[in-house]
Amino acid sequence: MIFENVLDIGQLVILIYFLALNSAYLSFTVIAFFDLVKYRRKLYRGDLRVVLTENAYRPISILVPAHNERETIVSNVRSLLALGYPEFEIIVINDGSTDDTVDVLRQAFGLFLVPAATRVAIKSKPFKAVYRSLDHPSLVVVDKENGGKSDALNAGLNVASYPLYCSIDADSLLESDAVLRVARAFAEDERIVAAGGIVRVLNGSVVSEGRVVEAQSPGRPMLLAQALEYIRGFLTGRTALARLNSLMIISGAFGIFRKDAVIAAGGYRRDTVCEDMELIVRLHRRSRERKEPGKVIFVPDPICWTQIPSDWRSLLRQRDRWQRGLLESLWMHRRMFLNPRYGSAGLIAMPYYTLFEAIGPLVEAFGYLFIVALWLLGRLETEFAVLFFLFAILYDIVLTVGALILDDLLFRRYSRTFDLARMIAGSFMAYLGYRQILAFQRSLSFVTVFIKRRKWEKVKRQAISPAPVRMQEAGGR
Amino acid sequence: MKNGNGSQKNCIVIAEDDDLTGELIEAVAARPGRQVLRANDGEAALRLIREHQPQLVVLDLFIPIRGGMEVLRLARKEGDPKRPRVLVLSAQGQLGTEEEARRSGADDFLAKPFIPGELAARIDRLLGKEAVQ
Amino acid sequence: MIGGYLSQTFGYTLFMILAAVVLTLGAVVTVVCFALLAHHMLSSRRRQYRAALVARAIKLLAPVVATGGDLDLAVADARRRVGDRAVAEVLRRARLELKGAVASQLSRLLSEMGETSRLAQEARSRRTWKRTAAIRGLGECGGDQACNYLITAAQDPQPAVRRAARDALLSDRREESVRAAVISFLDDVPKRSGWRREFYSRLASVASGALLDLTTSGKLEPREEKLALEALGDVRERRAIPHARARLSAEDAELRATAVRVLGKLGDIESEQSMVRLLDDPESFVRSTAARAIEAIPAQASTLDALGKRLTDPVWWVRANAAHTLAHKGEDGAQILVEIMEGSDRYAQQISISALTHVNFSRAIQERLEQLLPRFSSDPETGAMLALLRTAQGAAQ
Repeated sequence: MIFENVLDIGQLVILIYFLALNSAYLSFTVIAFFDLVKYRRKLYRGDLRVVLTENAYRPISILVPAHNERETIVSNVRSLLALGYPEFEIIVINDGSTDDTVDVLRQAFGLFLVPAATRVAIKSKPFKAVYRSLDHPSLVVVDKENGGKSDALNAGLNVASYPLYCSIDADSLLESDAVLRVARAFAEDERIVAAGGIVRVLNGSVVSEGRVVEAQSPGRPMLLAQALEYIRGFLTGRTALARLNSLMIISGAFGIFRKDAVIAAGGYRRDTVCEDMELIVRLHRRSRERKEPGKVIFVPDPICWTQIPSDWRSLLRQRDRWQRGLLESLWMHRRMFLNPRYGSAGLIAMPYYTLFEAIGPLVEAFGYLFIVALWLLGRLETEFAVLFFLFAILYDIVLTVGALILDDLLFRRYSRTFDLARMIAGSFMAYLGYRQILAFQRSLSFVTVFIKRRKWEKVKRQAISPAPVRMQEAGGR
Repeated sequence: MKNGNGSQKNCIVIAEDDDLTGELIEAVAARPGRQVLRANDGEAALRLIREHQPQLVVLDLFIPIRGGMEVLRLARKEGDPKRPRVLVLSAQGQLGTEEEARRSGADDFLAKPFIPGELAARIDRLLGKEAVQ
Repeated sequence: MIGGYLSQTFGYTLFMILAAVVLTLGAVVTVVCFALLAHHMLSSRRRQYRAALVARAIKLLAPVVATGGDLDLAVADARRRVGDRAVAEVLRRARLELKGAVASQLSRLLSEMGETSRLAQEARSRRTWKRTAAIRGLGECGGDQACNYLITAAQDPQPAVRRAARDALLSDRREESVRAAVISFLDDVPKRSGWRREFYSRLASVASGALLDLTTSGKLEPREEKLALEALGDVRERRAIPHARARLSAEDAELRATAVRVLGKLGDIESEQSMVRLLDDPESFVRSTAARAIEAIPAQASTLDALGKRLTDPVWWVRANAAHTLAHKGEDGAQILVEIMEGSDRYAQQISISALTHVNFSRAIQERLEQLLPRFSSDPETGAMLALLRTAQGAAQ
């Protein structure tokens, strides 16, 4: 009898968790809807021009940490140099690459060695050399000993000379007005310490001269599922969390920060796998502890296009890293959990990320196992199981389609109806294996978090060539 | 039709990504016997400059792919004797931009919004100066 | 899998309820998906059609606007061919790009074709965002009719609308419009400093005289005066010099720093001595700002010496800025940097070497540096920097 009770309670727990999780997501969608509509209505074509014309903007340093990026680094620096922003510098930090990243850069941009007396605001591994470019006065290349991505970013912070900085991945593409759009938010509201833009999936789109000329959805189900995750996560999740001032993640692929705030908080920590998330949590914590106004916002229209893993191995490795980073950040700042002193960050953000983002995959994986166990015990009521599963899928698809609708009505990135149809089909297909595998993988991260140490993680990349090409969809190797 | 130092006489390249502004500048610059070419981004502008070796480039500073400043520097660097004259047209009203543009080799600077007559006069002057030399 | 417990309690009823929910949800999802796709297809086509109309309107109107042909005729013709909406959009956009007589003519045409009245109608909407959008549109139209509405809108109960109205009035550039914008701004100074900075900056580029009057009127608090002064410096308003010079001895440290920065931007030679005095300011950020500002003015020997003293300042930024400025002061400045390298302060040596990378210096300096090299055998790091400076100089030349 006790055994039966356990089974019943197990089911009840899963059911309640499922309802809570999806209600949270549904309310996010609703919040995001109102917020995005409001944002969209405020947009005015003259606004960006105002930022350019007046002196409301602040100059910005763009930090590009690079580790073995010889394939993509030149085209990326080139596209960054054409960024539509009045005053900026680009700092490429070569983090002890074992390939000839620096030589490739040296040839392409006419780099020459310069002596540099750098103020050490945050400790980082020693510099081997600092280069400047003959052709581009705003380009700086720092060659330093290997120390990981956070160390590279810290080094970049020391070299950076402008009050704002933007961290981007060496393999991402920024829309030319992306920085301008985020910087406008900084100019309007001085309480902002960090802001993130939307990160979208580059795979499948047509790229020419380092620019996305036509956004298209990827064709393979596994890439589609990821593309949908990005749209949903950014457009509904982050918008809503930012609205509640509880945004705890700004993608390392594209985020803009106030340099003084980050330096005061101590820069990036080197002992975590997800330095970007940990930093944001710390910024929240610091501003609450010192009672300084500090806001972390999400701006939905500046786009950073990123290449996602196209083979399962890199995908699983990436997700493992994210999950471990999340767990580590939450554990490091466990003090904030449900602590009213930290305001919405402690009362909303921490519980949300802990309950749903961290434990979510565990419960999901447990649920799948539970069904199998019930079935093995012959106690599975098939009709109920099927119905419930259908219900779960449909609920999830409602949320995904909701995000797609927001995306389409407000920003209209896909010009072909076909791409949209493919995305909708993808939201069904994500249930045929993709979600399950990720749920198990992320549950496994609870174990690996104790074992693995941080290291540079690579996504197999395609060089961004000048001629129009469809970004890679085939397997990674 | 080429003049003494190799640049094509009466050829103007306009680098401007906004369709309306581009059309306005083109209409201002157009004269019988003048060739006016338009580019929507920096890369295309450089290509046109290389191919046609124009006498004058009217350059917006905020154009995609390669920014106006870069086009300016490259246009002034490539093959010094036949380099084109450059008129920078920018939405940035600050004088800092004008100083920077002139340092990078711009021959003239005009802030938007502009008076069509003034733009026409400056274009004529820049083309005329070349003819006198 | 809602087995045992639940089905025992509710059994068949629950099953039916769940089945109904699933079916409804499925139907709703299907309908919504198809609706989304249909909407996408139709609206894409509509957008393309509209874009094509605007493109045609541009082709029809731009040449006439640019060359000063008969605009009335061209507009009448274009309205017949592509419709009012596309024509109005093109005229509004063209007015943003142009100024002078053409701009007024465009305003008149927009008013005559009823666009201004249409927007004025919309500006009476109950929704804030609609009002704001209409106000911005009116700003694009310009002209007397639009400005009358804008002056009313500058008193709107919503701050966002007031801000848009002020922006629109400023872009009209005429004296009475600017005055109305300033009055509205002083009536309710926005809480966000970003909005205030934006206002000063726009005012400076449109009517720097009006901003100068505002700055010297004494109506602004120090933090406001700082923003206003900065904006004046950005547009190189030389008439602000006496006021900025007076503010060099302000009590508020940030105002002092702003004043010295603005004087640097304006390149005011006569303020040199007063600016040099700020190199000894108790606040480090004032010292570093002053060190940087002096770059823009041709400095006397005593000024260079004062900068040289700052190379050993306890604060890094002051040292760095002083070195930077000295490096840009030609032979005399470079001499001072080389002299400090002959001293024993390692930080000052390194910052001096670093600063010299940004400039090309003379052969004489280069030779002195060569002679210095052996002195750094006991300090390989600084020695290596110096050696690098030599190669970098070679690469840059």
